[in-house]
Amino acid sequence: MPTFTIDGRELTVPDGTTVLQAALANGIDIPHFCYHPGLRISGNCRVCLVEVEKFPKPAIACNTVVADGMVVHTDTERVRKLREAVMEFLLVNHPLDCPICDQAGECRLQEYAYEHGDATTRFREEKEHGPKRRVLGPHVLYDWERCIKCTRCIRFCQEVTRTAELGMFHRGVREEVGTFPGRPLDNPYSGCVVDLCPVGALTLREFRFRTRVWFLTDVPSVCPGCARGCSVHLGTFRNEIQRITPRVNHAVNRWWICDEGRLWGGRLEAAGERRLAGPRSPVEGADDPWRAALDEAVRVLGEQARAGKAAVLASPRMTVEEAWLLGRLAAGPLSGAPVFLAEHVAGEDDELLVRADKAPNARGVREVLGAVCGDVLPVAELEERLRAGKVAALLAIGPGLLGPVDGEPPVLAPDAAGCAPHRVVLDAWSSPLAEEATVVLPVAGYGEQEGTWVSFAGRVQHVARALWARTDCRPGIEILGALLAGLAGRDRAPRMDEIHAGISADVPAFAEIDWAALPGGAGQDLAGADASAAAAPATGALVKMLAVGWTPADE
Amino acid sequence: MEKVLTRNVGIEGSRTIQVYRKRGGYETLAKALRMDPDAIIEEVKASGLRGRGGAGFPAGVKWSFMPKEPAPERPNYLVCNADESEPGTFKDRVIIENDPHLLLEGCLCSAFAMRASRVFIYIRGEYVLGARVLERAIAEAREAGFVGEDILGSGWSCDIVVHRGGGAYICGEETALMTSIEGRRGNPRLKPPFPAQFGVYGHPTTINNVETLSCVPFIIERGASWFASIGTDERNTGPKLYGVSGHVKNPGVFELPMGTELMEIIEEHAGGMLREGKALKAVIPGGSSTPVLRADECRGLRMDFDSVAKAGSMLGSAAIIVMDETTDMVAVMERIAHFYAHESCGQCTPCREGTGWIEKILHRIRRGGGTPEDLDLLDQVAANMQGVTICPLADAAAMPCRSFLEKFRDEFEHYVRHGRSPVAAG
Amino acid sequence: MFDEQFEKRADEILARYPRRESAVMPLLHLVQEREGYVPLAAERWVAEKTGVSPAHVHGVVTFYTMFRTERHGRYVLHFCTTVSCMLRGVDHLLAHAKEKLGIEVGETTPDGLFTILTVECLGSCGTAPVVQVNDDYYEDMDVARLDALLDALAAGKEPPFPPGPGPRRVLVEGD
Repeated sequence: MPTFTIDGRELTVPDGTTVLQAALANGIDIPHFCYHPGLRISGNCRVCLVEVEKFPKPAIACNTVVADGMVVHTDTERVRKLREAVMEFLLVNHPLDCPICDQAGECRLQEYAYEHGDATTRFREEKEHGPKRRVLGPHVLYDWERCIKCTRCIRFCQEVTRTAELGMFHRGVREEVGTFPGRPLDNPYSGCVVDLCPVGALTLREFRFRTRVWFLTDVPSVCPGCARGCSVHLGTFRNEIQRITPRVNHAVNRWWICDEGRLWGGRLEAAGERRLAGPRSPVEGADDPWRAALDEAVRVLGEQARAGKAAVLASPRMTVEEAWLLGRLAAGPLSGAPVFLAEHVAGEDDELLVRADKAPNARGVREVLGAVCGDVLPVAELEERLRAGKVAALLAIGPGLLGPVDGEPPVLAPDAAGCAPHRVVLDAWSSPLAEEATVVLPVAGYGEQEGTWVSFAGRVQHVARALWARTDCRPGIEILGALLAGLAGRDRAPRMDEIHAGISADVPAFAEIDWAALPGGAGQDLAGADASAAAAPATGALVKMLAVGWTPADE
Repeated sequence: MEKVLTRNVGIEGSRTIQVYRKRGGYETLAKALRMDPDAIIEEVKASGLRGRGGAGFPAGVKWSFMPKEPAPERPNYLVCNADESEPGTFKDRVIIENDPHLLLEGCLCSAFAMRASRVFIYIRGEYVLGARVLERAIAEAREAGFVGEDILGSGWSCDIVVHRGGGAYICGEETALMTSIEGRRGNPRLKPPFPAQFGVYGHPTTINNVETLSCVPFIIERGASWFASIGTDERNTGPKLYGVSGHVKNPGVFELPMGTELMEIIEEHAGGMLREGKALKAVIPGGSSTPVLRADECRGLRMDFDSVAKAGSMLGSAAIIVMDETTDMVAVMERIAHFYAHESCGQCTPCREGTGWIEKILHRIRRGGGTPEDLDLLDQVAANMQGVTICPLADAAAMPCRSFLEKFRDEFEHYVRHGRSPVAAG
Repeated sequence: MFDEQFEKRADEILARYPRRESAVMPLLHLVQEREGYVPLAAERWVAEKTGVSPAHVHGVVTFYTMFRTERHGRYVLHFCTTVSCMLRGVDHLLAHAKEKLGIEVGETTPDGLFTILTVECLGSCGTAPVVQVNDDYYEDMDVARLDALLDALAAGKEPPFPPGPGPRRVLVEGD
């Protein structure tokens, strides 16, 4: 563990740490472009030059491994002049696009030019010109003039997705990033290159010109797309998800998310008219439709439960709080109605992030229901029972909680679903199940309510409320809480903190969870789980670091 | 001086193994294979042999960085740098095209000394004839048992592969060369790691110039002290190939002792100034990357590594470019600037943007659009490119620019003031 | 894409290297020898044979100036324009060639015979100016020698002199 001095401070770091990594992890912000902890070291932008005593020339901090007794200066007059010079070079051919460039507000070139550069440029010649809207793939556009040739995007496709669609073509100042004709940048993670690009050379088609980033509120949350549970930021403005970007989490997704997750907001927007508009029940023209629907649900469920003909269908897309309430319902006032759990498996796990299980909380729901009401049965058995006429009232949590369900096979075989005369369905986006329900109780959709999910690897994370619902819906715990209150004869639904206490008490895997610490963080493991072992592979500069238990500064 | 490196040039059939062997060739290889490899390294160190590609690094020292006991999955490699693209340089071609077996024998002796099991000869793509000559020579050598398995019963095996470049000056830089051998774009690599630890395919590699390797058989055959007895002093030794081009009557390659005076090379061997009555104006001593010298700086200058360095330039590839008084120095600098902008690989910011910037300023000055600030600007831009890049191409672009400005500032000022060259020929 | 014999030559090249990727450049040379340039489909072929991505191959093709992505004339005339050739009059020689053939640098004559290109130092500085015609270095070139060469090639005759150095000459006015 070498000890070295940087700007007068003495630091001890693990073997193999570079000066840049040590600096960033200790609050010394050495400017850099081409370095990224998830990619191999490239060392070509030359912005991170520092002075190292006894070295004959300035050294790049990203490729200088800390040695015992090394003395580094990052803020001398000479280093400042060097940085100014490199910044001047970077801006020689860079276009003055800031007013129309998506990156403004989160552009390192802008920030460094302001902090480390000169206010003017001495370049008077004609700048190099090139294509400004080259389509690299279905989601990514390339602006040659803005590109600073840092090669992050190329390295990403080589090292992380291993698809190598991007290459650098030509030479010298005419270098350009491109794809081979007929092989566009269309791997499932193509949007990540837009995150990586330090300038506005790579833009996401779905976000181009949509919002200025300084208007966005970044709400930390979790992606709803699959059981991986990637940490994300929901960039919201005007009560809309304007964009979704990865949130760094070394126990789960590192720096990446897949395109499907990234574009979830757009999916929700496009399916606006498929949101369930409001509660529905057989009662016509009720003054208070919610009261009417809830009362009807309580009535039929209570009746049929006493007759032993009630059944519960849970969804792996529910939150653990909803699952606990549902479990308490099933085990309690519904006198041990059997609980079935739907499944949403499609395709296969890939080698990076994507899971075949398309439900973000399958493990959480299973853990909670298993502890609270015993065995959770597969849907096929529910279908059998329905067809055999053994179910008169079905309480079902639908598949459309987190978005439109087009393309997915129906959760229950349609002929089986219709066999129960009473079907109480909680859902957000319309599904065949919701369409055919006798009572519909619309739940708040993705981003409209908070909750907790558990990934396939046992990582417990907080899902945030980032939006106000525009349709007539309520949080799932309110609806289930109301049903519980109605059926169990209580006066009110439990509060969130009471639910959490209940989960910790009832479910051993959650016994040690510190619920208050979950929001905005990287999550916690269920008891006995080791989520980090299943985290996305660490590539690049990070690999060596993690081997010695080092946590690098996050990008 | 007795011809050493060029002794077979001009002999009929010198390319063939028969002629080469008849004149003593491959005897030294046999001798080397009976020696201890470390002893050969010591001999080369003692000879004072310094790299003739441009950097002048002591060859024996470079070889001593290689692992003495390479693991089977990490073999040692020798790479012969036959990329010869430094403007003004055309000396390695003489050996390759006329005496390929000398080069091969040098490669084999050197490879043996550094425990290499494979030699890559990286030859610039444009040297089509040279590649053909080498391939034929290797085939001959293989047939004679000098290349391949268990050479001359020594137990040591070595293969030689000729790898053609594709037109990129940057591939003469040793790390870019290795990257090119790996089938990639010729982008130089970060150092550390150094080639002897992490070279071609990640294996320990040494890169040496054609002329450097061609000296090795003579050092082994005649001894280090013989080699060291030629030249200026113990740090500047051996026979040297000097290439002279430009405004001389008899341009060409001349083999002379290291440290021969520059004016002797120009006046006696290269026939003196090309045009009667046109005096010497400037000389680039070691290829376009080296700082230019005014005529008065050339008097008494010995052409060895240390003497030229002391005079503020570099011996480099000993490519002497001679310019007479009719030369428009700004136009020459513009042409040199274009070269570096064209050849920059583009990886690092200062070189990629700086070489293009310098070229554009010079274009503008030459077209009559220069301003007084431009001259200091040129110098500053060039200065900002030095010592901050992955490889020395940026320095190679900066040094001529700064030296032309320093030594011929009046010509630049004339352009700025009058929009044209002060030289009549223009 | 290529016949069996060509594939065999390609495989021989692959076998010379410890790693397949090293064969990218020699295979590109092989293709260009045969086709006169490197067609896009050939880039894909090289990628498959060497186990690299097509984008990688395209990056190599566009990095090295010798590889052409378009068909050129039957005789590609590479004029070296770097310092030593400049000092020995290549600018004048090039201007003459452009006028004689009626094309600019980078263009091909309408009859498909000649393409004029400018290149950087070819390593023939002692016999400057040098014009590389396809694979051959024609050295010590001047207007007369160039005219004789181009006229012979245009007429389908053998070149009037072999590649390599020519008669030593003195720089003339206008050079």
